[in-house]
Amino acid sequence: MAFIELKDVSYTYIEGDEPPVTALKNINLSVEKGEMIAIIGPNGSGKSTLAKLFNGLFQPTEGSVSVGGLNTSDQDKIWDIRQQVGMVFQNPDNQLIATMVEEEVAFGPENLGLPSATIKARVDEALALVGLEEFRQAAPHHLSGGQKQRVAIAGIFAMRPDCIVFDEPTAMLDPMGRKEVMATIQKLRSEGKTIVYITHFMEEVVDCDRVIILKEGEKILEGTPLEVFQARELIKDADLELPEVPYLVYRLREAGLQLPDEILTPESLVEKLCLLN
Amino acid sequence: MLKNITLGQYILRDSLIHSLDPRMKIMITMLIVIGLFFIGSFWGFLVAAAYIFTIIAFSHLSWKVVIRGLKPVMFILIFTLVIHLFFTRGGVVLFELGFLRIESEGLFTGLFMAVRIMLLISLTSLLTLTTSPIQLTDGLEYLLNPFRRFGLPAHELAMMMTIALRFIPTLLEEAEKIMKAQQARGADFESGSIFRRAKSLVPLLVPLFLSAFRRADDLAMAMEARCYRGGEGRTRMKELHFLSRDWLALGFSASFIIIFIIL
Repeated sequence: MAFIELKDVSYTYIEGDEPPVTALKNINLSVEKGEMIAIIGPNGSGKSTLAKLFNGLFQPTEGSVSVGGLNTSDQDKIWDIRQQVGMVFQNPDNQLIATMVEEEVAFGPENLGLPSATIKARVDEALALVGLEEFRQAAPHHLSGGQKQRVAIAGIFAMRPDCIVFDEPTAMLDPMGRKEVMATIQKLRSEGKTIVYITHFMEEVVDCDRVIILKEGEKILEGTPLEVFQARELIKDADLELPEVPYLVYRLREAGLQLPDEILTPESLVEKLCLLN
Repeated sequence: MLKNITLGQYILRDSLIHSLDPRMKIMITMLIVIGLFFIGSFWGFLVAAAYIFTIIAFSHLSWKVVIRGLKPVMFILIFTLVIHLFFTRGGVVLFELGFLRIESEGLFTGLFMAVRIMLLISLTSLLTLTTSPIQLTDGLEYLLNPFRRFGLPAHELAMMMTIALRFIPTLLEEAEKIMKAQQARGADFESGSIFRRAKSLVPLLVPLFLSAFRRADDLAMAMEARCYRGGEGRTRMKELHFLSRDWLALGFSASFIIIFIIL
């Protein structure tokens, strides 16, 4: 059994007298330990709703979600599930609770009821991982967007989760901040963490193990980045754009150049182009 | 500009007073405040004033900062003095002109009250000058904890204070942004009568409130995702421990209280 499994999951928002809105329809999905998967889709495709199903913040209207064999609808196990599946949100300002960076990182471990010495050790470790040791005493509102997001990541890391779900963590950041956050995520990946990365930037899915494309609450495509980039029509249908390199390769091939499929980075494109002569 | 505001009036210094346990500082302040109400002579006040000046000296703060804290209450001070001067009767008549009459009892009570308020204010502002809002919140949480048994939500109060402190700069920044956006579209926040100005704040407050609610929603979600479930079973990274200097400070203050009450 996979680490996280979604079986026939549907989610419907019901608010007062308004007509119900179905955000997700019959999603089947599994995430293996140590994997990095990307979930991508345009606005309103249900990707943020999907994110909140992974750790029981939302309960599916139909179907079931299980994490490490535990069902997220089991209220007795919900805190274990949330400890195992951490979550970083889109807006860096709205997920920081404390007035000081180290207190912020300690918040999660404190909630787990760990002894003070353990918390201190974990805070040190987490701040070292995201490279913000010298900001221990800083107030979050004095940090840049990218730094705030790294503090949020440290706060999750200190809880020692197996999996971290990122819900569009770079959507509100400048290019610098985006780079910092992406580098930190790669670090987490090399630490062996399972990563679910939700985004609407195609460029960011290039080095994931698996990509899932959502459109209007349905999974329309799943595969490795290479496989997904071949399905140009479906991508276009979902209001998404190919990243620059695969797009360039596609246009070059259209123009008659004999290029292979597996080109995702500028470096490999240069190499393959040089081989042509 | 708004980004660099400091909350409260905390002034960072490396001093004995700053390094005391916040719980002890709060308790001592409360004891002294109660003590001030039992002072019966000017000698007592003199000793209390000496005590306050000793703290100022030990806290490496300038006494001007403390005096500045008295400015907002100047009106109350004068008001108290004047009311007592003219309306408290008793003792010898010191001054009489038409219906105005000042008697010695009035002068004494007035001065007494004014001095008492001055000492109260400078003492409490010394607490906030030497203790950061975070430490204050922590200290209060610890001190209020025993009252949980009687239904006082100590942890929740402290959490609310922390979140308020955390979001004041964020909301100020946002208010500034909205104001600029409205000004760019011709809004005028600075001229006109008070009513006009108050009215022109409506298009600022509505979006600010809306976004505050959205933020609250997001924050609640983020806290739950990090296993927050109230104060039950929660531990702290920084535990407060009384050190010998805290007990010394308590002993020192207690002896002062006894002296100025006796005098």
